Amino acid sequence: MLKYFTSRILEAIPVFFIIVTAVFFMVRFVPGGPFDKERAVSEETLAALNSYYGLDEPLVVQYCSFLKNLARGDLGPSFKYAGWSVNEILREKALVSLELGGCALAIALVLGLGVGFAAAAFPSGKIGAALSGISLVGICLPAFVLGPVLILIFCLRLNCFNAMGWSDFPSDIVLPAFTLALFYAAWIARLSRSRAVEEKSRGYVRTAVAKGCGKGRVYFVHILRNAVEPVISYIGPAAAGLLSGSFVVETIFQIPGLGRFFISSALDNDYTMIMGCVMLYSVFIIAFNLLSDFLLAAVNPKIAKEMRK
Amino acid sequence: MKSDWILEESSSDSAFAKVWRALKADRLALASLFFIIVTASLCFAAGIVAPYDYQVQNLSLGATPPSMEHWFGTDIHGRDLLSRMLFGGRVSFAVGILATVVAVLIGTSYGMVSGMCGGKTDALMMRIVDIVYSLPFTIFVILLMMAFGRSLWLIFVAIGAVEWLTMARIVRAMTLDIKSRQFVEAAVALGESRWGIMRRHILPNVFGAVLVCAALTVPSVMLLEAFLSFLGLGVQAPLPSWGGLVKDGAEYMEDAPWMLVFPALFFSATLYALNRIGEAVSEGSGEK
Amino acid sequence: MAENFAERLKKAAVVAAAVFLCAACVSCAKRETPARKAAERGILLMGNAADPASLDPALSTGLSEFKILSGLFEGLVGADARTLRPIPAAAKSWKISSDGKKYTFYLDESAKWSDGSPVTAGDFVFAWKRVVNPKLGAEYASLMFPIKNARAINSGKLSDASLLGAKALSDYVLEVELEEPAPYFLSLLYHNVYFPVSQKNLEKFNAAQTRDSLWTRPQNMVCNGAFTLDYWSINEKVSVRKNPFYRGAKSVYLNGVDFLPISNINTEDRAFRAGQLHITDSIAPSRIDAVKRDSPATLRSDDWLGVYYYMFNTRKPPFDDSRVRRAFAMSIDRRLIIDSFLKAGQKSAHSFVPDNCDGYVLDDSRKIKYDIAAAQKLLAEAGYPGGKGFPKVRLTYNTSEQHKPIAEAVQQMWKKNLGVEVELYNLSWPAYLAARREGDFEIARSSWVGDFAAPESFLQNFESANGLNHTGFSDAKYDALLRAAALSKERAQRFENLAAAEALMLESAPIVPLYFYSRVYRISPMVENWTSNLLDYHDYKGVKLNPEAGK
Repeated sequence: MLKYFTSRILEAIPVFFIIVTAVFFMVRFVPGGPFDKERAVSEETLAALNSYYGLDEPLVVQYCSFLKNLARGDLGPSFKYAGWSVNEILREKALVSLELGGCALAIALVLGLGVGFAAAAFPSGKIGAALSGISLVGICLPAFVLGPVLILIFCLRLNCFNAMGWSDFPSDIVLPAFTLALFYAAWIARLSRSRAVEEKSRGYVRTAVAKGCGKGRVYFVHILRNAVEPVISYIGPAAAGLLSGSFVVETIFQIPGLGRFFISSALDNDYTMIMGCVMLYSVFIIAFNLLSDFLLAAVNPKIAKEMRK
Repeated sequence: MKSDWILEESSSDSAFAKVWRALKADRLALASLFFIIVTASLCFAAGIVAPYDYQVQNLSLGATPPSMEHWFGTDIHGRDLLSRMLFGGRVSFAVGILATVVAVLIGTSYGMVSGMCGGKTDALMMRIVDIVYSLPFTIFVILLMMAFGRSLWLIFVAIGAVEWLTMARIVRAMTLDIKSRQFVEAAVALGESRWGIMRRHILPNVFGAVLVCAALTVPSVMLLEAFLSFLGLGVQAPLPSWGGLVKDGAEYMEDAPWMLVFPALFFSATLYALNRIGEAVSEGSGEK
Repeated sequence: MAENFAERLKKAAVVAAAVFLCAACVSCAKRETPARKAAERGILLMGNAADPASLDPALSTGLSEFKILSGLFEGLVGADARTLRPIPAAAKSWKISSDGKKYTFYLDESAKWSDGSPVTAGDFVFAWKRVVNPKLGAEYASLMFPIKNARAINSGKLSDASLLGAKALSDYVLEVELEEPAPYFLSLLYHNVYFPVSQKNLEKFNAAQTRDSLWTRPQNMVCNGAFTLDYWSINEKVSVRKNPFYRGAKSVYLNGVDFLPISNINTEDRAFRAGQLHITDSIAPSRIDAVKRDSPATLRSDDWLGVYYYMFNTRKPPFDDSRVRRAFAMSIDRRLIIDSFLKAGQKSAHSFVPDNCDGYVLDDSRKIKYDIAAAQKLLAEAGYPGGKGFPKVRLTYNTSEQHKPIAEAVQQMWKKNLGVEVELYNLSWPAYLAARREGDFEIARSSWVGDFAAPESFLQNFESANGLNHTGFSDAKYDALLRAAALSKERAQRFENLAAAEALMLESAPIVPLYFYSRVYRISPMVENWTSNLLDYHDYKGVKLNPEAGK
């Protein structure tokens, strides 16, 4: 088992490097430098800036010094925010995104599993169809519609929460987390439901019922355990996405999280920041995929056995 | 040379039949299919069906609520919303379908080749999938658009180039599974070429799964297009797309609600229907 | 049994829904709005369109930075909150030599830095030398070029920074020598690049020659303005609090200002309505009609020294022909565009310099007219009767909710009035700037906001050597007229030269002016004494907050 995970981590290292390298060169092929401003910036100033940030060196030299800094864990200064390092910005913003993403993940799990299992519990009835139908709404409405609608209802009509911001902790998190969670909840509901429905028709369930086990017991003990499996493998990348923030939700609710940097850094040609975001995301993806493998092994001994091979 | 049962087990005919049976059993899915067919054909026939041109403006008219002349109202440029939705739907469906086709083509062939080859090639190919998978999609697409300029064509490719990953994984897993089955082993023993096996045995068997995956890819591509429109990276104005119309409508949701309601309704209904179809097929035919 | 289980689930769902509703109701209990709470504490909550990229006065380039910096720092000369006439600030008086090339400023001895030390002439000289130092890479160093040798030092031609035409004659006397007379020099002085910085403070953080230093952080920054920096978190907010060392601290009513960088204009409006802001940065045109209807008192529209225009690339056909350019410029119904998409009664622009900019007015007869028949004739003369044979051209604009509808409308007007097809091409901000700089466009959206309230701030952009002159317009007569204006002794003569230059430029029409900017925003009735002027320059010192207002 340990061997499996060590080898997975070792495999991840080249993956990580290829990503970093690809993006490093990609950003430099995008037209427009990071220092263009509305007002014309003189050639000399541009040259000074390029040399300050080392952009006047040949690409290979830039790449080497980038790797050197990376080895020390230094992602360099942000090109856009003078005086701020990428490390500092990411550290500060990651906390916000972790909080928001964590909450959203929890909501998505509770809501998704709840709806999914409830839908599966009703034997092919109308309620099951209705529930699974409702769960699909989350996939069908873009967050930039859902968010403002929720704000209009809960903030401006009912006056329950602030319409934006990130200062009033418990109340400011409710709407954005919910908006963010709904999409994932819908996927989780769908995955868990279809697996649960499938498991219900399996022989062992019928045997258990025939043996006189309570239906609820069979349902919760046997079916659920199997039905969370696809959810767990889905959660890996989903969690990475959630925790690295969401541009739309963070923009609409004015939340100082990571998600906005993923877009704005690319739009502003803030090279170092783009690299920082890409690396963070890749690390998240790799880590959460490992975590979901681990969870899968914990739930299903068969998978664990395979990993031990 | 081939015995009958091999042909039967791997005939594509049965995959279609299975899908059809699954759809017939689910009335909601059937209705969804009907809705998609009607909406899509209306949109693709927008040039004939649409009451107005999508870009002719009437600025002094401005945004007006639904009326007899303009069933869905007009937007701030005084353009007929229904016409814009029909033309926009054409763009959205085209984006969805083309990106999906790209994804299916790349994903299926990649997955099959990877699964068939096995061993080191397979491991390497899957590592590449992992790499692309760990790239943050949004940064990737934005950089691509900034580097190569903005064209509809590029949006398809960019989206298709990312969406094939899941498909490749599924197809590869199925290929590995099918490869070990008796009828393929038999075919190998009978001296069939690798290519022949892929074409005659594996492709028909993964077909159902690919179809489900494609049905689910189309709506997710359409949602992505909406996201790009939110960023202002959608199709070039004045060409509309559903995502762009929903986005514009969201800006005006309080003052001209019809600008949001109609596009959002059709957009969501389409996504819902496509999802519903995919789900019904996957449940009914046992493909995931 | 199945029923039983289903029943139980149903009940659970009902209970869950009830709990949620109760929770919602409890939190719905009358909420005191953040705006009122802040008003009670004397804190002004302001929307700011973007996060400051830097709070270093030498490096800041945007309006959202200036909004903050104007609270933190004080230049030599201030501007009257309404008329923008120069008024004493860090300098209590000044003298201008008769040739207009030498300015002597006498500093207010009571002015202090927020660490208690006095603001000296040396701090100004230090700050200005820092701006023109090529190593710093200050993007807006060009604003200092009127000062003697500033351009040469900034471009590296002159390595001795002490040759800059700014000298501290004593701790409290500053002498500035200009390259050439610049009648508008005093109004330049409240741009943030001219703000002083504390030499001691910057040297402590090693910031004299480098961009990346920690001196602009809340605990570190030493300021001489009415406020000091208290908190800065990117994308969240920048807070400034009253500076007890400010010489006029007693007459500052506010205890602080919170700047919230809300990039989404609709989010900002919702925040205002939910009582989270006192003043918004702007308002979405889509909301203006509703606000006019429901709460007109909260809507403000101030004239602003800016112009929105399209420019042609005059180096490339078909726009190398001034008849084509004029035809395009004459066939746009600006009023209709303003009424449809801007909604706040902005003034339509038929010339480049906003009317009444420091008293400057261009006669209507010299402006670009809206005359479709004449435009069609011009286009025909140029060889494209009815738009026939006109090549496909692109209108390039940067991604924004504001630019798209206007571009769409203009595209249709050109099609309808001239019969020409123009393709819209929308680019991200850096790509757009690059395309503009490299001349990779046919028509491009652009806009200009004056740095100081004088027509020169606009007209200089079309000098042949100006880096902002992306159109390729170049006319020796134009350059000569601007130079003549700079040397004019009389104001009337100066304006006449400028008007002649502008008319000359408009005749050639390298641009299509569309409308003059207005600052349109919402303001809570709690805010009193909020003044407005052409530069959107706001003096926070006089602003008062009344939490009881508008209850």
